[in-house]
Amino acid sequence: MAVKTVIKTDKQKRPFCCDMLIMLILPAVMAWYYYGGSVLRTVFVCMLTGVLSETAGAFFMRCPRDLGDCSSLFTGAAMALMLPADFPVWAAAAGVVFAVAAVKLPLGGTGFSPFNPVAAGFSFLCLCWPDKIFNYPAIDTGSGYVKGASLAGMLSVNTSIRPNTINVFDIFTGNVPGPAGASCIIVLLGCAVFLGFSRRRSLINSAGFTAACALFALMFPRVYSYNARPVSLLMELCSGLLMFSALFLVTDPAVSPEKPFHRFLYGAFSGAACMLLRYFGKFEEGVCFALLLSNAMWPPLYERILRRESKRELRKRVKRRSKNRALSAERRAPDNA
Amino acid sequence: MPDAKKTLTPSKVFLFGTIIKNPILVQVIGLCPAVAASSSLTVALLLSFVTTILLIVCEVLASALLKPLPSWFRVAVYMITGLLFICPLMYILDEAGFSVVSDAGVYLPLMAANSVVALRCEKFAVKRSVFLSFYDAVATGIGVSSVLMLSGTIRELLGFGTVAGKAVFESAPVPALTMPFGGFVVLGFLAAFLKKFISTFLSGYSYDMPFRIKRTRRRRPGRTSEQPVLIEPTSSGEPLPLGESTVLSSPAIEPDAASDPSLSGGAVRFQIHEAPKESGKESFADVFYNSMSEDLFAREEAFDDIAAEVKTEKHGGGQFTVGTETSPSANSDIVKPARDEAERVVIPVDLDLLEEEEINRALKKDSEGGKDG
Repeated sequence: MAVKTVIKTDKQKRPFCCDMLIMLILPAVMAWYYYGGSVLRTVFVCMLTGVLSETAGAFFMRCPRDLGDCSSLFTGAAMALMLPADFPVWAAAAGVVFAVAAVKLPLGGTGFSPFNPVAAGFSFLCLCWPDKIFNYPAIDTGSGYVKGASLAGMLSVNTSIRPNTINVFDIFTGNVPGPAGASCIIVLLGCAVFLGFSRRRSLINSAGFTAACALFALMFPRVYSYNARPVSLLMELCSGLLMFSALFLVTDPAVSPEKPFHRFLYGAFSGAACMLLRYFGKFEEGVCFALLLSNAMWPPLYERILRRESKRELRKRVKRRSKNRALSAERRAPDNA
Repeated sequence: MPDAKKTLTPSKVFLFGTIIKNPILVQVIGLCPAVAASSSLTVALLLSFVTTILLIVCEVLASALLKPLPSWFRVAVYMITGLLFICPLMYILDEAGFSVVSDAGVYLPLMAANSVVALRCEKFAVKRSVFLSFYDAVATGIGVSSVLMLSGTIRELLGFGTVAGKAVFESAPVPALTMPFGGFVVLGFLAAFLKKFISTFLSGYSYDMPFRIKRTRRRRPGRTSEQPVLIEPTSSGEPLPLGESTVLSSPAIEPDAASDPSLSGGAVRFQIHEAPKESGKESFADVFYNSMSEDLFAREEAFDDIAAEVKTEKHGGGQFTVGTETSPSANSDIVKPARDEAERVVIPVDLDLLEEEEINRALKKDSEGGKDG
């Protein structure tokens, strides 16, 4: 019985990253609607860079190319949509090269890399150009938002969000400054529905992640309002890359466990790390660093969980058998008598 | 190499110190200055100079005078020697107005407690002549210096856009490389290139490297607990009696067995023995079963034989080992053949599966016994 990944076992289905690419179409369309064709150009360049990096890396490392599973395409597209619309294209391409050539290929390739390549590439960009990556362009729709004042940025400056600061409809339609393809919540909810139909198990990761973030948002609100907790819940979940990461990064089959409950735990663990980094981190958006942290810390934690569960299961089985034996002995006793 | 000490020549010492056993890229010691401090060429030059001088002084001193002293005392002598050199140097450079001292920060005085110096002195100098120790110090110094300067140049060029303070690019292409994270990335790639260089051009020395790359199956983390299990090649080629063996397939073993053409189509048998306990570290099976109460498992006799040392044999005879080191077909270029039959190979085996098999069998046996009773 060989260990198989979800990617390899689902031979009859499309590759996982192919589904993810399909899901990314709608965010890309919304990004084009709000920011114009420059976003699509960045997406195209990043996807091309991903494919070229994978081909070159596989050639130099003498390992088989995994172009058929669309993972390099997905890496490029996802990273481009996580960036601001006016982010330099060459820098975005550098992030993709780092994700593929320094994280994915050396650490095992598609389905085996212990760290999410997209999260690693985005973290690399955060460290290299922190002033550019969180400086979002204003949307020219008459809403009057200031350049760079994203929801996550406002939340990071505590109590800067007050009643009537933000229109809820704008938040749901993505009409606020933010990452090019990760701001429109309605579109992301549509992607979640697609994920629910195509990869139901992966949605459990997202549910765990979102639940943990929601819990943190309710318990420790960062808004100044008369009904702070619900407003905090809405703002935290809709800001930055949280929803996008919940759908596209936390569901990575290479690092997520198999059983549904374990998937939920993994998602919750990542969500807790994400919110802690949001609250105490240097940057306004710490979801990618949180994912890398959870990628590193989850395996030993998961091993402990498995040990505990197998121990409990064994106890139950032995107890059940002892009980059955005692019952059968009791039944035989009158017969013998 | 068993006869390496006898055939040690100055040229070999030089090759080993600079490339084959490069302290930073191969032995992975002395990383602190390499990763944290050498973010520019000038700092790297200063650290390289200090390291080389310290190595020469300490190794010659250790080889000439410190051999009669106990090892715990010698290490203190190395540190004091380093301080005697570094403190005046820092004072002179500071008085002369060199800003490189402040750039190096706390890492320059920390060079007095350099692990490379202590290791080379203890591993090499105290056992060899002064001449060879001097050669080793120079070689190791060149090895460390080349890595520090190469890393410093790359990081300064890409992180600041300059080389030795002179502007090359208008803006920094990759500013993150000036951080320690960038140091790790650069050193990782340099180590990979050095490994490739050695395996290509100096393949005869690849066995002398402190570690060998094992080609193991890539596994998903967290799915199963990997526990090293000792696997011995069997002394005879005869198959084990059926009563004493168990057929088992394990995720860690199956791919290697499948990669060996001589094993195709045959199941692999394992004989399970009691695990030899490692000093100071309990295996998962020990922890797991010790944690259970004795009463609970008093009747489960089969549980005593759980998971551990496994002997492998192929159906129909023919000796082989399931390890990764001794299978020449899997690692033809880097792996040396087994020297003797007693050599043990450590590979990861899924103990969960072993235990699950044993538990299931014990439960089945027990239920059958209950029915019979």
